[in-house]
Amino acid sequence: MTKALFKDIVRSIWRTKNRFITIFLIAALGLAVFSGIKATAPDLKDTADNYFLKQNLMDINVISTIGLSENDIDNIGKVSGVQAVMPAKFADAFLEIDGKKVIDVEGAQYSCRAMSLDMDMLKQWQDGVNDAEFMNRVRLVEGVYPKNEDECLIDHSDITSTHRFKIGDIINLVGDHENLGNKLKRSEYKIVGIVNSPLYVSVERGNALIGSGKLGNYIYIPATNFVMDYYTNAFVSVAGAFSYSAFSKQYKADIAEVVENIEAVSEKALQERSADLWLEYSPKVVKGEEEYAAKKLEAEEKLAEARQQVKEVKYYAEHGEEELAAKKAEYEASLSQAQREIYSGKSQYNAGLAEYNKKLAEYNAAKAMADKYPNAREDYKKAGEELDKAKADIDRAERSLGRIQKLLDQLKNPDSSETINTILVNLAKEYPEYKDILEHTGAETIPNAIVTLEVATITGEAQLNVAKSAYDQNKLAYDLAGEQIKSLDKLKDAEVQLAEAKAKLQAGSSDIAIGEITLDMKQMELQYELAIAEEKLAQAKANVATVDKQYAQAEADALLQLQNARYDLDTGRKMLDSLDTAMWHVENRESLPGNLEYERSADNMDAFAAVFPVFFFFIAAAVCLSTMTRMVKEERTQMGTLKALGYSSQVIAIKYLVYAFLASALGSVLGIYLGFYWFPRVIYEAYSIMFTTPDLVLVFRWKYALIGFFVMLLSVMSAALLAARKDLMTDAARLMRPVAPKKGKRVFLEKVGFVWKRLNFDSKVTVRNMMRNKRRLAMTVIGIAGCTSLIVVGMGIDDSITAISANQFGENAVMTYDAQVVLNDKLVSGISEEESLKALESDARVDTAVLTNMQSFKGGSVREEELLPVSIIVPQESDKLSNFISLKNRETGEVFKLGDEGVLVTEKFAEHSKSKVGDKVFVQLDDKTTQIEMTVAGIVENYAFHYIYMSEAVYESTFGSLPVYSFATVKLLPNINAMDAAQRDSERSKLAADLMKRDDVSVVVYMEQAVDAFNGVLSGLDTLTRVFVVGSVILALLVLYNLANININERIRDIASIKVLGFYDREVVSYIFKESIYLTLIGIAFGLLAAIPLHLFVIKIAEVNILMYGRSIDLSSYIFAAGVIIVFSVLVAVLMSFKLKKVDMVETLKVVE
Amino acid sequence: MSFIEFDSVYKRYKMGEITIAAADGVTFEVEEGEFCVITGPSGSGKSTILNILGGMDSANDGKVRVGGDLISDYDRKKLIEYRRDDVGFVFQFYNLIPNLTALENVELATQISKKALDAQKVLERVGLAERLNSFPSQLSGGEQQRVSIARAIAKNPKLLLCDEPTGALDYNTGKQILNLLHEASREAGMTVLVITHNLAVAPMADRVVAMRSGKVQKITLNEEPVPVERIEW
Repeated sequence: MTKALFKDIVRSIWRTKNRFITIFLIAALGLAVFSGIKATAPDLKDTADNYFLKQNLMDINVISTIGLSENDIDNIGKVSGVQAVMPAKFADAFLEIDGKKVIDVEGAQYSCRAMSLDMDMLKQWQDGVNDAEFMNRVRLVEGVYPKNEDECLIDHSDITSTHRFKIGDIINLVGDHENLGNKLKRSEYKIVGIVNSPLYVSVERGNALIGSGKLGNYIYIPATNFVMDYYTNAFVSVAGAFSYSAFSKQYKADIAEVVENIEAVSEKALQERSADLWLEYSPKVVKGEEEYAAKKLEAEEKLAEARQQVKEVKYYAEHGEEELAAKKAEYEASLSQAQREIYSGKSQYNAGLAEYNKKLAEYNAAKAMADKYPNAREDYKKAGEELDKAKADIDRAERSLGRIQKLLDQLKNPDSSETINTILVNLAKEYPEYKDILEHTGAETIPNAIVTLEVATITGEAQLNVAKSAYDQNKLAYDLAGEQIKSLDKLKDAEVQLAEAKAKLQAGSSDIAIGEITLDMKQMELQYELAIAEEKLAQAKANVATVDKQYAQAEADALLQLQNARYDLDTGRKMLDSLDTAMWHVENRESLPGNLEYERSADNMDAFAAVFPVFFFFIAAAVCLSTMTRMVKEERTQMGTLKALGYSSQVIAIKYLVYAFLASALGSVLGIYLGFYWFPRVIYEAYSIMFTTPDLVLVFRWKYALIGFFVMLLSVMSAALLAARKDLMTDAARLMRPVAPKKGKRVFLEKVGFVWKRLNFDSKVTVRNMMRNKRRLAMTVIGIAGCTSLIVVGMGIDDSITAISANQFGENAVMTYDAQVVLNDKLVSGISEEESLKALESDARVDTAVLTNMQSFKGGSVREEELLPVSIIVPQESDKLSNFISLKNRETGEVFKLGDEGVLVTEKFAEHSKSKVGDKVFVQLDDKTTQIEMTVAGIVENYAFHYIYMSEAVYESTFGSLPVYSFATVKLLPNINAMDAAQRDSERSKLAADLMKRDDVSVVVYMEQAVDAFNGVLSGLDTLTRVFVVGSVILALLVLYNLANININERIRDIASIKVLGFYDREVVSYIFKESIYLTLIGIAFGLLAAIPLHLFVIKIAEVNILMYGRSIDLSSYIFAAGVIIVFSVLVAVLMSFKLKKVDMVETLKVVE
Repeated sequence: MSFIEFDSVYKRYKMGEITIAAADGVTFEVEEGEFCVITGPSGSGKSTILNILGGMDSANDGKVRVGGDLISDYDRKKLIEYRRDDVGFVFQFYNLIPNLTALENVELATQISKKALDAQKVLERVGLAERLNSFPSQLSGGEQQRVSIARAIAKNPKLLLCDEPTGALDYNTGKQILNLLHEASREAGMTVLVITHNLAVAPMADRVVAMRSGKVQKITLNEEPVPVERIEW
């Protein structure tokens, strides 16, 4: 190359710097997008590989359904291909913080997996020892590693919790109907560090063994906290595995081999452990059953007692008033009784006093009398004695008279049977005083005796009379004396009576005093009692509301305890039952939550990279190419001159090749730099919301760099060469003459007379101009259409992503309900689901509600190997489901009903499992082998996650049991949703608070919360689309500028000519750009049309499993794209109008190209 | 007062350090309706003064009057209007718009001019009645130049300026073209200025301005111009 030629090149560049820069920038943009998107996927994979290597991620996870013994661990270690084994333990539990349940964004109770952290290994590792046995090393994001047994590390990237865990929080682990004490020493842990575990590369946490079956987050606790005597799983690393990328076929094959090897030793190991477990646990279960029975009895007794107490309190609360009233009445009554007693005491006292006074008078009278006869007593005594004597005399006289009479009788009337003698003897014996007479009497003397005796009788009678009169006299005296004595006695009596009356009177008055005191005391006592009674009543009243709850709580506690015990027993029993079917799950990294997603994301990026950037790149290359072609064409005269001067064609061609090379190579280098070092970071930023991997590893990828570089260079340089070659073949003389103007031609439209005639002159010119140069027409239309398409597709991807939540949630979307009410276990709340539903439906703010059952599975079909996470939803009332979830086929618009003939599956699930109506699909149970089959009755529109809807009857016939309705899906009244945001939110939270006061409501989750969380995850993808859109917009600007430039340069002579004719500036602009406007509009139209299939293509490739992107592009995106192009066109036109103004007629027309 | 007056007109170009005067104090006059020929060797400044007169270029100094108006003081817009209504241009290489038919090329001019003539009639007058709908590429050089002249005349301008109109044409065709231009002057009363380096043409002009090195060397008035048919070269 001569110096002159070199100078010419430099000058050319300077002179056409606009064009040079255009080529440079378009090449840079093309390469940036191409290499950037191409590099992102491998960058993602490299990043993961580096991460896995550094954290020593396990290759294989062995999980035994019956746990692993030390022996098992040894056995696994001996398997061929195994490099190291790290036994581990974990336990799933619910999380509580500050005594409150943590709830996830879907409203389910938040579950946590506590994993063992080997403190010795951790310490070694911190000391710099790289022990292969220490796998799955966590990456500390914040805080420190635990030092004490009660400290833990917590998951950094959990997005599903409604609580943000931070260092210093004390978390509490609670078992799900099980006694966590069987597994863990303690339940409270303090968070000291926040980590990312390589086991979880994304925010996906996989399944939990408890609760809703969805794991919320994980924590690491020092291994010594675990009290189980077995390991739950063993992490295995495979020798040499790290020499390959974890995403390579070689790696996967190596791992598959070792997986098989481990599975091979599992049978024997399981047999041994089964035998051990049987020996250990079967007696334990038997004993446990007994203990359980005893415990249950005890609990029932206690509860009965409690029930009695409740009854009492309730009775008291209800009847306490009455009792209190009665007591009050009694109190009043007893008071008045006492008062009455005191009153009657007083009147008695008064009566006593009167009597006393009377007695006193009597006494005084008696005393006066008695004083008259001071010796009455002696007199009386004497008189008495006298009287006695007289009486005795009478007696004696009478007695002797009597005897005499008797003798006389006997003597006068002798008994014939006895001899007189005998009679006499006997008589003598009997009457000794008459012995003499009688002894001397004989039978013959009896008449003497009788005479004597008769004389004696007369004497005796006389004597008696005397005695009698004496007596009578004495008697008088005696009686008188007696009378006197009597009055004396009377006095005595009066005295006594007076004393008595006095005593009585005294007693009466003290009684009254005592009565009064007693009354006071009684009053106080009663008042006290009343106060107590009132208090008791108040208490009863206060308690009656809560007593049921307390009882329910106590009952629930008791039931829970029993349940726990039952659970333990059942677990033991189940474990024993499962010994026969026990197995090892030997899983590779793909089973780790999110791992496959990560790989897929990278692969999806690759898929994205397959189409979009290539398309972008080719448009860029095409623009560069045509620009270069123009450039060469314009330099025709110069070429001729050089040729005439004797420069060889090759040397002249070199000029253009160098020009092309410099522009495209420099642009490519910049593009590659941006592509490799800036682009992936922007995209990774978007993905970092999903993934927890560390900073992106940026690698210069020679393959893509070279492909992009050379394709760009080749296309631009070959364009230059081809364009130059054609001209260089012609001879110098002709080259120096102006190129024969392109022939004017009649266009097809002219034959359509009625149209052509209606066009005004300008339009005719425009139409001809457009048709004259088909190459330029094609270049312009394709360039503009391409850019339009790119913008629409970029925006469309964004639309499709946004559409997911817009189409999925809310009015006129798939899920139209407002809230999910999570119901408590009816065993705990004591309220049946039906009652709960009734209560909900009767709430004035609730429009309608339905009970639903929701369960998560992995599901698929025999037609597709890969299984998807899918949720089964069963409404209690089949007909009602459509009020909450739209059951419409997207393509046909057919609206389904839940029937008995089968299940409805969501679109993406059907697509992925290659299912049509009538096909069978299945869900897989936790044991990973049992597959439950069901028939597809319809395919319904859905955008996020996968669902299978079925009626209760179908559920029952499929699963063999009735579903448990643990949710109530609720729709609020339309007028609540119509309120403005603030008012609606407050109304909603009020409703939620009201509902949660109920015992049967665990939590209320509004759809908005779920949507927000969901959108949070997707928002990252916006960055990706924005990069595309911005790239496309820049490309559009460059293309439009370039096209306008070319247009003007090509027609510079026309421009000068019409200027000479006296066209005003605006007429010149219109003359030139009218055509551009049409071309732009046509380009836009083509671009918009082409965008539809292109968008669908890109979307389908880029889609992730759980989501179905919206299939359509928003009108606004079309408008935006068209708007951008139009605005840029106008901008470019304005810019160009300055250039047009400056076109020098003289110079332009003078120079014959 | 003459129809065209050039009064000490200067046009200088800066080429680096050097300033070249393309018109170096040009002064001449042309009367209305005259057929004027400007001759001179290459670089003598013929085209410069024609461009200035046509409103395509402007002088650095001096006064240019056309019909009494001082066009050298016109601003950009007035110049465009001047070109639009008062000036017709004919170039050596015709400068037709390639994808417009002959008629359309003429219409391009007539549609913007106020007092334009009927395009078809003008074309018929220049002898192209049969080629109205032909594209420039379908026409011979002479025919193209006729279209070009028709385009200039159709605006019915006061001034018809022709820069080497026969330069690319053969002898006979050149004669016909000159005849056409002459007719325009005689019949339509246009003032026609023709640049040519062909001195043989001079006798047919009313006035001949000879230029050299940016200066008017000589002005010759022909009392009896010779019809072009009789001129040979």
